Amino acid sequence: MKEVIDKLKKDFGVQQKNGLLIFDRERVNEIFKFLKEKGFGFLSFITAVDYKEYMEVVYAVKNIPEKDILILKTMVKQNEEIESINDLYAGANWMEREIYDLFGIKFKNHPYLKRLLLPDDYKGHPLRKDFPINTGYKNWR
Amino acid sequence: MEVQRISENGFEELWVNMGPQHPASHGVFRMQIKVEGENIKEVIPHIGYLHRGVEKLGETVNLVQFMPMLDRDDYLSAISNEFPLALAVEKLAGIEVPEKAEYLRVISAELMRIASHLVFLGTFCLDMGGALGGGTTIFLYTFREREKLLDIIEKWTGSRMHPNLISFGGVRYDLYPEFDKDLKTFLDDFEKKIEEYEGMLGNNSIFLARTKNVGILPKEVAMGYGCSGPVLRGSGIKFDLRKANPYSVYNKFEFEIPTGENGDVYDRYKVRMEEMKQSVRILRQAVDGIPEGPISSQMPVKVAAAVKAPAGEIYSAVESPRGENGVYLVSDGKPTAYRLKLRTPSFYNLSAIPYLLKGALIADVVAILGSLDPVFGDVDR
Repeated sequence: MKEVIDKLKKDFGVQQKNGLLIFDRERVNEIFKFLKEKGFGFLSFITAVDYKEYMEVVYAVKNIPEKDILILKTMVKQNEEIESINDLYAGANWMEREIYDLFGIKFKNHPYLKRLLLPDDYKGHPLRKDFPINTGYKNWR
Repeated sequence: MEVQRISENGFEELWVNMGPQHPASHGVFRMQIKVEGENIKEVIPHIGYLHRGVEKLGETVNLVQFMPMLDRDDYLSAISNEFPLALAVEKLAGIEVPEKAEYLRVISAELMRIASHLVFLGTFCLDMGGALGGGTTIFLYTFREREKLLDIIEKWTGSRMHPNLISFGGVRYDLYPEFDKDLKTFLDDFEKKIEEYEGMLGNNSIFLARTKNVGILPKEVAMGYGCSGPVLRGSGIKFDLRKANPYSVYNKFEFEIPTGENGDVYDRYKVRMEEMKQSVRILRQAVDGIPEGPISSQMPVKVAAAVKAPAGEIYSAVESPRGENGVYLVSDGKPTAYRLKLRTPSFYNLSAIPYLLKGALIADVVAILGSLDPVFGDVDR
């Protein structure tokens, strides 16, 4: 585990702040390729957090035999895209679609980037902080 | 439904729409299935019919108020939804939990695991149709047992399915006086009943023919899709959060992690059957070992007003009947969470359905879907 984190910091430009690993969004594919080779073959979840000025995409991968979990995150600004990791982890397909649906973050090279939970003609991305709430039904569509 | 074209093998290719209101889909789930004769060529799943925006609600109400809402998420095993949020908040805020409360949490979680697996078994056999005289027999049997179990939970917490038992720092309700007796009577009876079910199904050639070597999910694929719980263990990976990362007091109990070999429908069924037996084992050990003491480290009234998770982020997960049920909590120090991601196992288990159904027969769709045991409150949130 420590080995992997050291290697990530040295070769992939990953920074560690308060115990959290932050990487550059341009290098998402090479980082997860490396992690998969190191046994982190279980993609636990991908999610996002809206911090108003920017959004964070959070990845959690697990090494099942070693029982390790690694949580990495990256920053995505407004109108920026991030590479899909669908080729490496099949489960990323739905997870990325969910993030696109609820946050509006676009994933490059995703095979089927459509809304997953909400109807196709829904407007807006509800988990963004600027999404209006408690306004009745008029924002529904 | 429209006729697309004649394939190179000379069959008509059809798009068949299954759901969203289909009795065998265990909820509201729609699949567009492209079939060539009996063979499935392609599947496009559509989810979200039960999407209630629980994560957004979690950002608008207090953490304490949010707890009963989580019960409705995976409505067949409510405790395993409450558990990870309690663990996350307690770890962030540094709240101690008395040992008795930990025992009560484990007991309730295991009771719910049995109740949930019984629903799986009943509805799965109902889907299998022809086996066992229309399949209704075992459905009624398992629901009979489940009702006894839910009666115990109701007597304890006042609610059958959504107990809202776990609070930050402990549990809300102490056990009632005859709980030991009730539980032991149930367990003694239930152990015999599991054997009865296994006898009915394990020797039934129709059941075996419909489940063995159907819907095979190899190890690597299961991991890539993020499948967890009985689906992952059915594929032969020995991974259970109760052992791998023992939370609460699970390290005090002896139990095994059952695994399958081929990763087919039968293995997933078998793993769940074995898990029920292991839950009985845990329950027997737990109910004999409940220590004396308080059931919560916080006064309930105080908790409602004062629980604030300090700023920070944390991921904590528990092993629910469906797999890894986790909460990724981002807090900015207010009583309301800044962001609350629910890592609900059914969503990830179900995402493997296009892989599993490709190349399968149309008759196996309900068997494969049933073996994943999705709960659509859990998938759509």
